[in-house]
Amino acid sequence: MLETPDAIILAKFRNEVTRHEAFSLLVKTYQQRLYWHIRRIVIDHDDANDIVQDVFIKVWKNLASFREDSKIYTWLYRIATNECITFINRKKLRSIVSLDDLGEKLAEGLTQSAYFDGNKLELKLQQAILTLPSKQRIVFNMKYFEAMKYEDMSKVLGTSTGALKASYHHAVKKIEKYFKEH
Amino acid sequence: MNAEGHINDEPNFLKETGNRTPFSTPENYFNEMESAILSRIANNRSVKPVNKTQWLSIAASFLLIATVAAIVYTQLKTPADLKLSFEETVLTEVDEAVLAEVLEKKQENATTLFENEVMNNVDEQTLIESL
Repeated sequence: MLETPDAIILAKFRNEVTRHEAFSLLVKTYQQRLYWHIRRIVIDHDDANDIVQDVFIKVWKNLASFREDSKIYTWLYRIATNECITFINRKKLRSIVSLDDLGEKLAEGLTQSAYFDGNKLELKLQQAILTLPSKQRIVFNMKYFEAMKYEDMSKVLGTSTGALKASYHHAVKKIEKYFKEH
Repeated sequence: MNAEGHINDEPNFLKETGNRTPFSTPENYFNEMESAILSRIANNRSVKPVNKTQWLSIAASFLLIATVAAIVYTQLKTPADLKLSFEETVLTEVDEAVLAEVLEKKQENATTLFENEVMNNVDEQTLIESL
């Protein structure tokens, strides 16, 4: 789908008459990208669905005061990523299992999920990704699956490009190690 | 959704794996997402777009109320205020002649105290020289 320029969406959203039209445009433009970004982090479809809806509701509440010093796209990704991190932390607190076991549980869930359609190698890669710390996992996913530029990732995650490159490099090394051991 | 151009830069084991996202969604999921979100917004009356100026005016009102309350409170409770009301009471309630007598006595006492201090602590020769 062709992206509608941010300025048009914002101008329409700030007008009471065209607000719903603008929001609808925004959802249609970004829903898939945001959903997959979230899904790759939380794995489960139902969790991803809840989070993506929460993200768009937050956007509805705050878009009128969006300051335009960044693109809507990076702003949306920032909200989505923060929501995912909050969700994971809450899940960690609620869970009696350790963080490593939580990753293992998610990896087990992959094979049982009706919404997983990967082959053996793709499954192994997802299992390897789930052994990474959550922020490293996010960096790996954004770079590897979405081919996001480090500059954009830096705006989303508030981390320097140097640190992001290092984080990605470490993630790849850990995944390689996992592949050798399994 | 997958961007495959950059994968050539990756190590071999990742090239073999590929960067397809191996997940799927329920049928028509993305077609229904928009209406699901809009109905959640419509059902939740508290979810209204927040107008920045609205927030600023609310914050400004609170600040104004707090400032006025603080001023009123300090005006009523400072010791200076209590001292002032004591002085006012003395001036309005006490007889002027009595007040003058008290002040005169107070001044006399202060002078006597000063003289005693000088006589007891200052060397006589120094005193004569300074006079």
